[in-house]
Amino acid sequence: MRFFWGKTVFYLLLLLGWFLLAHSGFWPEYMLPPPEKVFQTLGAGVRSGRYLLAVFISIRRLLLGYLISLAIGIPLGMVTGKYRWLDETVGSLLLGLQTLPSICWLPLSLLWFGLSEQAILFVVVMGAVLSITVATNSGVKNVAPLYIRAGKNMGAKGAVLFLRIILPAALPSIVIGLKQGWSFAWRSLMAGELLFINLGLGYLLMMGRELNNMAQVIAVMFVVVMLGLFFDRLLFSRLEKAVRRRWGFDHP
Amino acid sequence: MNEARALPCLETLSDHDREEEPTGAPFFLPGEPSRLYNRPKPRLKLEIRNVAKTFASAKGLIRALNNINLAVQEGEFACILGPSGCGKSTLLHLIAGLELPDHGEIRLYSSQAKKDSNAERLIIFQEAALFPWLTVLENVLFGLRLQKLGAKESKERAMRFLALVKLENFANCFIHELSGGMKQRVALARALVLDPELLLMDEPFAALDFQTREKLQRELEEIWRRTKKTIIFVTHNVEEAITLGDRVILFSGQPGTVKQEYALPPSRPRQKESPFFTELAAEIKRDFQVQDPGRELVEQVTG
Ligand SMILES: Nc1ncnc2c1ncn2[C@@H]1O[C@H](COP(=O)(O)OP(=O)(O)OP(=O)(O)O)[C@@H](O)[C@H]1O
Ligand SMILES: [Mg+2]
Repeated sequence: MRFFWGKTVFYLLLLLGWFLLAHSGFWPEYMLPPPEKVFQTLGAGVRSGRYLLAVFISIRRLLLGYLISLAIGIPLGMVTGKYRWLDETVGSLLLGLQTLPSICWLPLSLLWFGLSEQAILFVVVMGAVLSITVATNSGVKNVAPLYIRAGKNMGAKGAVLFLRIILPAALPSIVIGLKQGWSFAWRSLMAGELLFINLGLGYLLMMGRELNNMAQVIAVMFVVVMLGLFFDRLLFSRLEKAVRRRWGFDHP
Repeated sequence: MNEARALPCLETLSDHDREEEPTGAPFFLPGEPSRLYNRPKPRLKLEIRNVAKTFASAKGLIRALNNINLAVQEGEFACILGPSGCGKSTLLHLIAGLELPDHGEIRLYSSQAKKDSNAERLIIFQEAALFPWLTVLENVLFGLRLQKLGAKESKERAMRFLALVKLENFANCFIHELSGGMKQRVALARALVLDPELLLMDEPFAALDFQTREKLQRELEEIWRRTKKTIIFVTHNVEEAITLGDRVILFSGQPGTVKQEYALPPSRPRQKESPFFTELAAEIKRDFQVQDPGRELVEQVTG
């Protein structure tokens, strides 16, 4: 809240600049529609229910893909972090695959699953699962040996040692992976929906382009940004902050 | 109850298995050869025989400990004193069973036949190894929860030990909310609550300021008097060793060996200004330098 007024003024100025530029007649309206037109389109889209449907479909895909990524990524990161030989083999493969932008999986996915819901889920999962796995893996590997020694000394071993010490000690790192995984899933989903049109927000965006409706393109982009901010600020940043505070990282 | 736990080189024996009962031999005080102290007949708690430990490092093999022989009696407060790098922490890790010696053996004589407790040799590390994701109380509960004890009973017990270290009002704090001295007190409570046979303390007060250190020394002495635990306390501070120990065991380094032992009178608390204290401190420092010129023990900064 420190820069509340500064921020407000900044965005108002931005809006004003956009308004003046759009009305200056310098660019035709189909290239730069004025802000009020964009907000009209946004309002109409929301009222008609089309946007809400698209948001609903996209978020459902995102959640489903993200849950699958969690279910695969966390256990995979844990076992590759725990067993050296798995890390050297599977772990190295995953690290290599991480360099591949997830949308590159789309052709393969389409050949495997056809033009289906699964195809797009696959791309989302490939986007998220690797960063979740890699973060969990490095979190587990980098647990301070002192904690492990202290735990063993008090009689913890095997699964207890893993669940009560290694996992919580790795949590700050895992949470960063969760956050990164979510944003990769979101990006992969949008890319997938743009290329492979099947409802959702990406579909609305492409529709705007095809109808030469720039106001719709910008309105949908606005919705995408808002959703992204919503999840990042209200969910992941808070989670990360809470974990960091509890683990004492923010208190030097 | 003839239960000898057979770990390689590291075993716990019950009273039954004691080979011979060492008697409480009278001993002389350095500088006061005429006075004689008679202790109650001690019973052997820990026996270390011919223990050696070598580490592989980038520069080749490092012999951290060479031919260590030590016996610690039940209820004794033994202080191990030595310069940095002489293998004090290594010895404690070996005693705690966190590492195994290359050869030799370490025997712990158990007074109770403990059933399933794995926590009979508890170590308090140089840096308080508390778990930051747990509160103070949960840290103290950690070991208890691994044992088959009711939740309510565990909590009562944990609170009792928090009270013992005067932290009952901080039960729900997080670890990062505590000062260094408080952290070491939590570590002490976390170990004592499990009722260990042997308490191993690795320079627990080294990182603290002078006043806090003296305060904690007094508290530890009091807790030791009340709980009658056998304690092996590592320090590189001569005054601390003389203040706390029934016996001071001087180590020399590279490789670590027992250089000398000093028995202390049972009278407590020890007066830092007394001639006995200052003479013994001077003697220990002298012995240290004879063996290891150019190296000095850290002296306590007073005032
Ligand atoms: N895991 C290890 N790998 C290789 N060398 C080690 C290892 N642990 C200890 N050492 C070596 O063994 C020797 C003794 O180390 P140790 O930590 O026991 O010393 P210390 O007496 O506790 O010193 P300090 O007072 O500084 O804590 C040192 O020379 C150290 O370099
Ligand atoms: Mg040490």
